[in-house]
Amino acid sequence: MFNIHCPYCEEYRSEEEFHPSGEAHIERPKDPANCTEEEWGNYLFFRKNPRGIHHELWHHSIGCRKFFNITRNTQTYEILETYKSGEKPTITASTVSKKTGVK
Amino acid sequence: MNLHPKNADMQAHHSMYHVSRKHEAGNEHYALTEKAVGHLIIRIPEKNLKTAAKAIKSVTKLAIPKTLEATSNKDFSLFWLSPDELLLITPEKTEADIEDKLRDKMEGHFAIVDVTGGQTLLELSGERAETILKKSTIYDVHESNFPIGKVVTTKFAQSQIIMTRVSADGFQLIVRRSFSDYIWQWMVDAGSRV
Amino acid sequence: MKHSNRISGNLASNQSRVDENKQISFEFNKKSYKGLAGDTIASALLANSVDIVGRSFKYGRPRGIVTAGADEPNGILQLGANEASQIPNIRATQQQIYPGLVCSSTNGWPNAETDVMGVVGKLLGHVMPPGFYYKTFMAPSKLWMTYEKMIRKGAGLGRTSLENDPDKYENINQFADILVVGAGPAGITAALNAARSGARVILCDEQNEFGGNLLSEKVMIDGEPAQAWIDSSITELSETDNVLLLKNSTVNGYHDHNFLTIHERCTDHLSDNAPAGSVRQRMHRVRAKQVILAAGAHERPLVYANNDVPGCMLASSVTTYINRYNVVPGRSLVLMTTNDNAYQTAFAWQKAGRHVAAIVDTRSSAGEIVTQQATELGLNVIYSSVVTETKGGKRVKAALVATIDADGTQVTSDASEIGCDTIASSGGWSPAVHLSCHTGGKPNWRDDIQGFVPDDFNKDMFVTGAGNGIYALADILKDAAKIGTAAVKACGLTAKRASSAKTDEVEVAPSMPLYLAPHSKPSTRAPKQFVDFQLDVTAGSIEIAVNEGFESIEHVKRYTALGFGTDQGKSSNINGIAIAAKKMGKTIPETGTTIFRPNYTPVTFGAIAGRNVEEFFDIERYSAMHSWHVEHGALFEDVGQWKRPWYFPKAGESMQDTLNRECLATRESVGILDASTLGKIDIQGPDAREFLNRVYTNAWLKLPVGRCRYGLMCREDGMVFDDGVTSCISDNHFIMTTTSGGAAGVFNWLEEWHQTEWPELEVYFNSVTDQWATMSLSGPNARKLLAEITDIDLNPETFKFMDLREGEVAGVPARVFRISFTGEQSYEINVQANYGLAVWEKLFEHGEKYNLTPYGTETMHVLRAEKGFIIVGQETDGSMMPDDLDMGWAVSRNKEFNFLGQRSMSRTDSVREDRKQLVGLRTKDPKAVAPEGSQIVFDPEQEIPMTMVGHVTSSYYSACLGHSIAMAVVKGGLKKMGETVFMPQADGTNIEAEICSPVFYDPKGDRQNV
Repeated sequence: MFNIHCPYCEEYRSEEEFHPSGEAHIERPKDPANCTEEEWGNYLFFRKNPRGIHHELWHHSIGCRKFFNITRNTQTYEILETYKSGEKPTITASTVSKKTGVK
Repeated sequence: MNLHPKNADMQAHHSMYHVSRKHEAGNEHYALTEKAVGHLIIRIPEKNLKTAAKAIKSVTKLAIPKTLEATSNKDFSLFWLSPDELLLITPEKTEADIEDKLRDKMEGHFAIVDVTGGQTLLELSGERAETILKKSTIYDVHESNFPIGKVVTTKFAQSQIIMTRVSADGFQLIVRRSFSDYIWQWMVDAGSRV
Repeated sequence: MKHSNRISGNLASNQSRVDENKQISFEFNKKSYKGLAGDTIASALLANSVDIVGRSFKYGRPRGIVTAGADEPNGILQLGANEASQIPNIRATQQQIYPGLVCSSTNGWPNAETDVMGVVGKLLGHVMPPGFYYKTFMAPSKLWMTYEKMIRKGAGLGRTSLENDPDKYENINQFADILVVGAGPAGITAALNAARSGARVILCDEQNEFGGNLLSEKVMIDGEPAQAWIDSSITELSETDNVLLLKNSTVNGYHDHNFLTIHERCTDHLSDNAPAGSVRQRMHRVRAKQVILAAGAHERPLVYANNDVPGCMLASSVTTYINRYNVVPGRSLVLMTTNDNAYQTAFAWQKAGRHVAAIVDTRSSAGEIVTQQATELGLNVIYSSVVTETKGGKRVKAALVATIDADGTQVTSDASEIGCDTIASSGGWSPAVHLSCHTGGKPNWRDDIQGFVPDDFNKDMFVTGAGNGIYALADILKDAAKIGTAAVKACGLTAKRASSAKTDEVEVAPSMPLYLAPHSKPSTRAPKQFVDFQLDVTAGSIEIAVNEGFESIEHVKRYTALGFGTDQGKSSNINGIAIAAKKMGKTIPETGTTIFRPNYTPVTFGAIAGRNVEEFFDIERYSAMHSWHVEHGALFEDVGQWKRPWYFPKAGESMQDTLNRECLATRESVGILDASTLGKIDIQGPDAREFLNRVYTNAWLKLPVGRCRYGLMCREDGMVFDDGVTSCISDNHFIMTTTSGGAAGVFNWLEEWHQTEWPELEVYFNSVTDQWATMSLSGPNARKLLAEITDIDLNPETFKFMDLREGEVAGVPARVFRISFTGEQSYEINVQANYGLAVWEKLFEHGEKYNLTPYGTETMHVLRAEKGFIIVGQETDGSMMPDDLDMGWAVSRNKEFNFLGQRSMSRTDSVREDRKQLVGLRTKDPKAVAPEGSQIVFDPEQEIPMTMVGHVTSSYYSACLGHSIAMAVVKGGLKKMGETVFMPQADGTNIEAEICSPVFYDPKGDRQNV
């Protein structure tokens, strides 16, 4: 049962208040009509499933109802940071591997 | 739009009428009551917050609450629900009038929604109130974490509520109308045991 | 008559926790016994000299009590005096007795004393190798069901009650700065230090009293017997603010981010059912900033031949029975030990007035202190030796003792026989690392203590005491105080100086790493050397598994079933790993442990469910008119969590009668539906239109104020996921309706797009589903009826189909929409929910003369199906695009913004001609109503499996039309109008039908426009 810091409520809340919404930072193509089937298929269906650092979109559905992002280690379930919609993560797989020397 | 009939004899059935048909419950350890008030949701984008604050102040005499807090006076309570969402509790049947006044004074993009019929306000108090909440909500209601004047939206049993602490052993809970029977009966059950 | 093992008078323990003056009667295996208040079932049975408590799982061998705690592998009982109170898998060593307690052996059929499986086990034991079940029952797989029933009956795995449990169970949410797991000397010390610093503390322990091992061992703390220190510490804690003390409370699971569940058994020690007004069990759901594990350690038994004969016990548990319960579980003891600590067992036994036949020490010498004590007591200590084998069947009769070499791998002498009825063994201690592993921690092996200890996987978890391999009491107290203050600091609080009680330091000699006592024969040939008693796993079978090529301890576990029982292998794990490691030629850390998972000890479903049962099993949502529906005899249908009227039967009506009546009344005069459950979303803002244009498939930029429009919503994959009517209240203000079940999903969908993709659009969404009571009047007399109680001008020339007006209905301000889901002249009246019931009743006052008929969801379904209107979730299943539904008219492909789902509609797969498409079906037999879900085939003569080309999505009998109607999805169906299809039924019949338009009634739509 995760304990998640909501960047809008500015405090930790239990996972039961939240709903995961898949991989974060998936941008809708600007011009869908001119996407090839492959490009559109990638946007629609293909998602990362890393072992380690991952960025996820979550929804504080029973709370402030805001969507926000989580940087999470999928192996340890440690949440390294949470940040608002539209913001960029400060921790990524590359910053972590630099620090620890492991990928 | 004023949604109340001009004819005051027209029977209003508040949320608790559905099945319980009770507006009060409790024993020597706690009390639970339904309170008829007006409910307005106010949505304001951050850029319009200043002008909105002025408008709200002039109509209700209340300042905009900080994150997870409430401001209140004799007539009104203003709850923070999210960075761009407030809940204004008004005296019964005044919500349309208040909405009109606010709309007059507010500028730019905003939204005001009358949800008086869609939710209800319950008051829970007594020495067992905090225990009832512990059996019901996943939020830490200990006074050190949930002092007077704090507001949270959280899970309540399998449903959800907005709640605030108004005194050492007194709480206000705002619940959606269609869930109110479930929440009411859950609390009566929880209150029946230590 | 068997003798009593209870000691009293001069011989009695001065720290016993049983009350000699309070006798309690209970029943075990249909015989009545007497115990004392404070007894567990195990201590009471041992006091009564009951040797056999069950039969083993695989071989049916008689088994007795081995331990005195959560690690008990044999004393696993079925509890309950009546059918409703049955609980399986109760550990006799943890369950206190109460008056009228009834329990029985879980294993053993027809009973534990004479057991059928015992005979089978004896005869077939040699042909039941590890992997027996896999090997024997894999094929033919159909027979597994039969085998399983037989095995279960014979083996017995306990059973649940067949009746409803009358007791109440509860969940409660707790928050703590520091949760201390285990209230032995370490836990109490840590909790004291945390509480004195002002932290919010929870201290819990699985036992019925605080004190942990101090309850069993004879030690002094601060110059007094330990009990005095326990009492004063617990008193201090109970008087400190924000400290919660929980006894009979087991932390059964340690979940992510320091979320733990504590299973508290509130009344299980009092009576069969909870006393009136009390909760039987409570599940505490705890979020703690810091957790201190002070969960102690489990003593390891030594593995030797026939070590499962009743009378073979753990050394520490024998001490516990003597010191805590005044029970000496035998007459004559042989103690086998690898360490100094276990000598206490022999000392206690001797002091209780019973005979110690020998202390068999695997080492060449013992520590000075215990050696001296043994000498003073005149005990016979045999060094460099092991018990290789036990003699006896239903009780130990003798121990065979032989000398061993220095590293304990083989015997170096012939065995000599020592008569005894009890063999206590100690192979050292294994820290209870279980909880530390639940979230992914991997314990580290420490050679110096010959045990695994928790790793530092969880940064917000501390470990202290025996649970961290600290065994000397003086060290435990000092470490726990430090850990307590460290945890306080980790919470961000100011810690007071660590303080702990004093006790004497005791010098001990090193213990010997030994897990399997060697035998003159190899393990595979020697009499069975049991590792896991509960699942009958022997040292030999582990070695065979390794021989057969299993290299991972996880695979060895699954192949042999090591640690699979309800005891989770607490006593067997390390021995099993050590034996496997040795056979594989690896070290123990190289071999590693299997994964420990919740629950630590079994948990009842009641405690998990809490009050979410019966009336609270699921939320029931009610509309404002619900009480009227109840009073008027409605039967209800669950739509999401809503209770919606299904139909309103009158006396003597069948369901079909009711539907026919409701449909005809609506088509001929006027009917009314409570449509309050439809999702309603208030949309405000200058960009509201633009937003609608992006999320709906059709065009919204030009919808005039006061008009309504139907829209389809698709996901980005182009599949329909909701539909509804959205109306323009004013230029910047719209009301969207959604399906009843889809309301929350649509609302979140809009929010997600707004917040994450188009935050620049100025628009707000608010749910107003509950704000409005919605009643839909339908039928040729709808206007006449409404006109009687509204001030709205209903002139059809000005208030047209798909128009919206505001005004009063029955004196209540209302929004009235001319929208129709029935194809009739319809008015959807929306009033503030508090006035819904009053307006509804007013409509019936005036509606009597028009035969105003309330109808429910079933008639609604028939009426809309007659019109070919889809229901999302019934005609669609997440794979239907607008064109598949022949609803291309609701898609405008020329909007400037490429709306959600648009691009997917031109994917190769989306334009296949053989996609399943929505059509109508008219059965050849007009009375035949094909079951919904019926598969559709073109050729009913084809051999099974036939080529299935679609299925029926909706199917009803239409009283208005006089024949059945159905909607179906059929491959390429839109180009097959007039063709015949078949619906083969389970009974072998075929329903024949013709593909037709799904609009069966009033195809031109004249009636709704009137």
